[in-house]
Amino acid sequence: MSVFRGTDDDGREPSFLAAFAVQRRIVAALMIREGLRRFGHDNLGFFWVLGEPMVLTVGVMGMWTISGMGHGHNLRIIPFALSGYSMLTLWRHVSGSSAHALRESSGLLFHSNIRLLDILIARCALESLGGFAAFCVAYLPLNLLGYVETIDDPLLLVGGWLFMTWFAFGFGLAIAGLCQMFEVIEHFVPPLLYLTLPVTGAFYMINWLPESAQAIVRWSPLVQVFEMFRAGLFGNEVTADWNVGFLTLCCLGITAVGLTLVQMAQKHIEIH
Amino acid sequence: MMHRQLIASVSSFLSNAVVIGGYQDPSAAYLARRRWRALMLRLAFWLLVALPTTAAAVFYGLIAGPRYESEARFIVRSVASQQTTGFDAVFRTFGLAKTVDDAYVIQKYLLSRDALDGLAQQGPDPRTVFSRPEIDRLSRYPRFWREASNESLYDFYLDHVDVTEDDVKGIVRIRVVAFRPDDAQAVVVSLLHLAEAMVNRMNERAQSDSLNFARSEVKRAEANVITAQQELAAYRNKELIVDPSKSATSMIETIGGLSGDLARANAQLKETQAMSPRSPSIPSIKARIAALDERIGIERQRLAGGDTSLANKLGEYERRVLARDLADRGLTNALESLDTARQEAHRQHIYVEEVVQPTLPDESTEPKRLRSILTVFVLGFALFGVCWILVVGAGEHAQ
Repeated sequence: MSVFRGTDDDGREPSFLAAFAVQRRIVAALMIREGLRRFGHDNLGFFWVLGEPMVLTVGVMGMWTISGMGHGHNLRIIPFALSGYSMLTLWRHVSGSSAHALRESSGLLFHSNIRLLDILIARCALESLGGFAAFCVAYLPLNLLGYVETIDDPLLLVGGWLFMTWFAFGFGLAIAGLCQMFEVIEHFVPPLLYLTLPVTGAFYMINWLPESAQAIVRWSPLVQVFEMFRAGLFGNEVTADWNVGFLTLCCLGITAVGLTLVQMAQKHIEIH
Repeated sequence: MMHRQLIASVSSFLSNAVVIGGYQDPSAAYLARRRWRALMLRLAFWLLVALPTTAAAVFYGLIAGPRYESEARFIVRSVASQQTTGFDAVFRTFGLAKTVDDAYVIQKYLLSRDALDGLAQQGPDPRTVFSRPEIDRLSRYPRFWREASNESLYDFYLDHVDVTEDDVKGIVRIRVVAFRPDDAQAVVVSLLHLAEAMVNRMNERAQSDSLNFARSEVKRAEANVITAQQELAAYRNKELIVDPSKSATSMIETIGGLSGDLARANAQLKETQAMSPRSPSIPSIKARIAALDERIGIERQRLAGGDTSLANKLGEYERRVLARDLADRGLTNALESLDTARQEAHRQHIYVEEVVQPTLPDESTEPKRLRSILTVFVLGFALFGVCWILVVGAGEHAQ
């Protein structure tokens, strides 16, 4: 079994477009299935895909505002928390949930059209889309009420979001593969994600730090992704520092590692 | 269960329960729901992705004319900013230092209606610059959906002029996008002049504030000195005396001389009486002693005691001298503080230092056509994704 879609059942090479269309439909169906599996039909049901990240972001925003947690810079606390926590939630959900991804969904592999990668892509796409929808839903009223300024450069904002999704996806692949091979790793995933908090840019921007610290955190792709996202949201109000080339390299690298690990892990999967 | 009903009604609208209600067969209902969802999603795709991207491609590819961007950078400095010590350095790291605030003021000023008025006065007139005939209808001032009012001009100005401040280094950057290269440069040059004029006004104000008080203090002290001096001179003229203390000294010397003479005369009398008690010179010596005694008494009277005595005059005189000395000292102090105020004002003097001169663009850099089209596409697609998840969520909910 290959991670990549190979040939049709009758051994004929499908055209790329047809294969793509099949893959798109499979991923879409898997996304809906995943959403339903997690949230069921009760109360908000599928809408919890948006609801969960939004509750977290809004909660943190409210908490920071009430506790008057300032950061001594010209950004206001609400937009800062909104940008920081939306992205942080994306990072933690996408990479965190992948630990159980293979075990939870291995039954699906019974269907010949569904490959491992489809499952992982679907979970990641669902988290990303849900998170972005949550960001939009939280952003809109805040913007209308004047708490958050209008997005300065949507391309950078969405670009930052996509890079974060990609990086978290690659990281999630690696974790999924490792967890499948060595179950003990599963227990290290939450603390590991917790330890990555300082090297995400959720709580600071690079140029707020002293020079020596800047030199270190600048090498963290997570920090750069946050910078890009904030540059899109705040524009000239902040001095952001990111490099698309570096980000692409990092994402490609981690995706390559992740794919290899998933490929290796396939031997350990039992189809129930 | 209000929220259940609300969600149910929203869901049924999105998934169109009306259409589905007609079907008794669940599989037919399911297919109808799927068709409805596909229709909604196709609609959303056209409205959010295909149409906006096409429109953006047509506008940026065919309609939008070239725009030119000119840029200048300056820094607002004060003499004091070079020597940062202790607390000031701490504040500086928090962005509270004075020069940074000044740069902020300039930045806000350049993006104000005042600056727009100033620009219109000293030229180039923004209305002309922003409505050159070669500009396409969609990009020119006034926007086709607005009137040619001052408000719409101000909004247009804010869209094409960008003043940002680097919050660490305090360098202010002016960027102007106009439709001719020289227009862009002229606007930047004009804005720099406005910034300088603003800085000068701020300086004048700060200086006059701190110096005016010191100057009025000096004036008051001068008046005091003159009054005291006049009083002293009037007293001297009245009493016909220049310096009573000197007069007193000379009087004391006179009394001393007379006392010496008296002592000598007394000694001579004693001596004469002992040597030759009948000497004829004795009466004359006695007469001299008496005259000396009388003289000493008169001199003592003049020096002290009585209303016209010198001691009385001396007290009065010294009071006036003291008043004059005090006034003198006050004047010295006032002059010193004026000097300090002048130095302080000089130290607080801020000025605009141009780091980068206004550039003359030789190639159009705006609008960034491909990037703008890509922005519309990516944003549209992201919003479509959000729509998808809403529609799908609603669809699943209705089951």
